[in-house]
Amino acid sequence: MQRLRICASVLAVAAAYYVLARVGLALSLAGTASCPIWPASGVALVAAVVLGREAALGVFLGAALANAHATSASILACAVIGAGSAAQALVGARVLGPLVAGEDTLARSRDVIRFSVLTPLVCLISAWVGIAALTFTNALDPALIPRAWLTWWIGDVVGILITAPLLFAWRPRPSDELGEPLSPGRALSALTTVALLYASVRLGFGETFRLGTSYP
Amino acid sequence: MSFLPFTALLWVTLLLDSRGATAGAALLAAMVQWYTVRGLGPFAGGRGLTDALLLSSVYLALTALTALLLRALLAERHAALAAVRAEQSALEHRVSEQDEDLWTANVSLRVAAVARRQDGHRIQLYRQIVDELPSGIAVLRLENAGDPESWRIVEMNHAGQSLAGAAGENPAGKRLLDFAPEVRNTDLLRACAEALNQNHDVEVVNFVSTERVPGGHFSIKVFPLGAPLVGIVFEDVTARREAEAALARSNAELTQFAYVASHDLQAPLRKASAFADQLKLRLGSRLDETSLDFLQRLGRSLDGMQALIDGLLQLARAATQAQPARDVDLGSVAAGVVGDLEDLISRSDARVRIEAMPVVLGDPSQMRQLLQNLIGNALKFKRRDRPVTVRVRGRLLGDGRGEFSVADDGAGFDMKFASRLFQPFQRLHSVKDYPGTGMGLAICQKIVERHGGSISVDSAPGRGTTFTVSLPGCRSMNTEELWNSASASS
Repeated sequence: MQRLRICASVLAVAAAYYVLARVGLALSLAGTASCPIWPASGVALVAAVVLGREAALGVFLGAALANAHATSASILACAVIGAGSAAQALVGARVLGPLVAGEDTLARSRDVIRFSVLTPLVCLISAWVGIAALTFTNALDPALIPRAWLTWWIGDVVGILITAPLLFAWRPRPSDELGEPLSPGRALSALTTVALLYASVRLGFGETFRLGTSYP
Repeated sequence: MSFLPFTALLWVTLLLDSRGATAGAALLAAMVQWYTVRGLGPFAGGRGLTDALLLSSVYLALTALTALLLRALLAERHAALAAVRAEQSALEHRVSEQDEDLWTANVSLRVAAVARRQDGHRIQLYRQIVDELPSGIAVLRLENAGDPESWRIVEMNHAGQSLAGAAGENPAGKRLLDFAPEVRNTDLLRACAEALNQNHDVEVVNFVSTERVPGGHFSIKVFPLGAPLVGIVFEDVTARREAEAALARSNAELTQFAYVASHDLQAPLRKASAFADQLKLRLGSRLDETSLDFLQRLGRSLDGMQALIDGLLQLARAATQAQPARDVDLGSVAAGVVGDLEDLISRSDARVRIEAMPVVLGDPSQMRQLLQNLIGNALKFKRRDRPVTVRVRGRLLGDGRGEFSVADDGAGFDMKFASRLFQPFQRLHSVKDYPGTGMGLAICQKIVERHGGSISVDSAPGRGTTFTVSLPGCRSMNTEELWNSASASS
């Protein structure tokens, strides 16, 4: 039963990582496995915090499979990339877990500052390991190494900064059972938030109101 | 315009909880990346897709972190404010509680102050009473339990100071023997020791001062105040003692005068009586009826006067001449008296009964006189219609006193005359009805008083009279029935 549960969580983590990695790889730097958007790193961190070492195995499998399927990298390179991702998840869980896994995620300014300082350091692991694996298997043009490394690193950092707090905040809490699941007021405020953000993004990014085109 | 989403996210973050904030950040990220991927927005223009996405990612990371940081700072500020407020309200609560405590304490203090003021008034009143009291009051303390002379004066009221001849000099704090060295080896020191040790009042009836108030007489009472304190109340009785002494002197002089007068009157009276007898002898046959009657009346008057003078003499003797006191068995005395009167008793058909009588310390001849007068009176003041019954009996009282009574069922008298009864020459009946000089009961009272006793009478007209005499120095009873004329005659 215990073993079955472990297998299930490993597979679930692997599957989640794989799906998000494929989404990220679709936007990868041309000719490399480096992606500017990598939410999988956040999921890996959360899984490692919640499940422990089993999650690392899932991350390893998911990362290795996703790279093997989506890139031309060798099996060895894919395995090393997977190992790097798993190691980063475990270290991240140890270093960042205490900051984000509390009852109220990142409620203290001290935690936010530590989180924003430590996350880029933790993400050096996967970036170095991954770029090294691709370089040594000749899967990466040496001229592209700095750009590939930077892309990889920033993708991981942003993935963790955006995804990990989201998942921790929405983790089921004991206090959830006390409050109403969804009151009209909360639904309205959620809708208002979505509308407000959409409107702001459309105003800031949308083609309709782009300043440059309105006044050529 | 491209910073508009940042502002919106800040606003959302500040308004919502961590779930809303993170969800908003994720949603914003998704939308921003989507626009960037589609080649829209400030990051897309003129760059490769990857560069654009990198830039937008950095932008998103900074946006999200800033929002999270601001939110955390605000939350902390709220928490700090709430903590301050909680502390403030706790403080206010504590202050209000303390206010209440203070109010309660204040009320009880006021109550206590009022009570204290009332106590103060009462104490002042007591002090005033003690100071203004016309008797001297002093409190003494025995400094050293082993030294019975180590009395120190703790307090003395104004009257005490002036009585002790110390007006204006407060003797409080002085040693008693320094203040009045004369009390050494006096009854006063012994009384103080007794009051302290045996815890009861001790009286010094007459303390005569020789130094502080030369010639002053004091009546002193010592009472215990709880060791080592005793209280002393004293009064100046000099005037009373002087009056008493003067009265005693005057009485003695009067008695002496009465004795001398009656003694000296006897000689001319006897002569007058003798010459009247001679006259009667010589002229007896030659005198007419009227002259003889005059002569007989003269003789009776002279006899009456002789009786009066005898009575006066007896009264004077009762006060001045006395034999040494010894135990007198009143029962035997009474029996002797009744024996002397037997002739009178049998003539008047009276009955006399003498029961148990006490033995007292006294003058035998005066005791005899006392009983003779009382029993004689009882036999004399009988009712005309029937013979009298006299009952003489005694009993022991406590503390060495005894009493006896002489009761008859004779004529009796109205008690409103009782006060005149014991005065010399006072008579309740006419001489024609009951002969006598009116001296008998005065002599009785004199004798009883000389022995430190008292005499009282209870009577009612037609129901008889009872004289009761109480005497000190009475140690035993003669319980024999000594005389019963009824049984003797039968």
